[in-house]
Amino acid sequence: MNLDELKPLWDSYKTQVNDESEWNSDDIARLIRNRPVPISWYQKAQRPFLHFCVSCLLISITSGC
Amino acid sequence: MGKVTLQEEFVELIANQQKLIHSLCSLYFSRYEDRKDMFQEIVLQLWKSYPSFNHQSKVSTWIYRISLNTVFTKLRKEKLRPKNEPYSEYAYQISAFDNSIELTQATEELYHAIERLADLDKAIIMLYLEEHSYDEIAGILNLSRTNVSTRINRIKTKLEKLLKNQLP
Repeated sequence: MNLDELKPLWDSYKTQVNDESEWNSDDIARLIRNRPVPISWYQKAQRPFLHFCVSCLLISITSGC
Repeated sequence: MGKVTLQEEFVELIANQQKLIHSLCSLYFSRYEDRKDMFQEIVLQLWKSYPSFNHQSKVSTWIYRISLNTVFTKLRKEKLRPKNEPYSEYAYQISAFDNSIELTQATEELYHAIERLADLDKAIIMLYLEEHSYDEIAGILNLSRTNVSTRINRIKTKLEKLLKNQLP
């Protein structure tokens, strides 16, 4: 058995399944709209980094450095 | 013309490539509701990882990698589900493939043959039929190239037998 025999059948299968199950762009957009926009790692680290810097500043002021 | 947002870009990508996801879902889940749930879960996982997709690999490779991981995670959870739950009993009562998808005889034979393969073998033959190279298949499924090559030969022999048996 080689690929040439099964490939057209597989393509036909995919098309038939897709025709029955296809989502339009609006449905896909609606699905992801309610989910939070993915946040990059550096954005997640922004607030802890700020807290760390403020802590360092306060320690340096109170210790008299 | 306005700037295309990340969301619009993603929606367009999925709208164009959804055929891959639907065919994958239909191979692993026979019930319409399960296929629909899986499609949604996969799209959400793809959306989650979209910002880190660097377009260095093929879009289809990235989609298959995320989709198959999501499917295998779901299947592992299903296997851990106790057999005496009402849902499982109901699942056994329904037909193998509900009538929501109309297939021609030839494609239905192919579907039934692939359906009888093991979960990992289904993924391998699907990627093979999508004309991914052995190296790409090995990369997507975290297997060695030799393992993929051996499995493909075995799967082809098995499929040949299954398809012959289905012929009148």
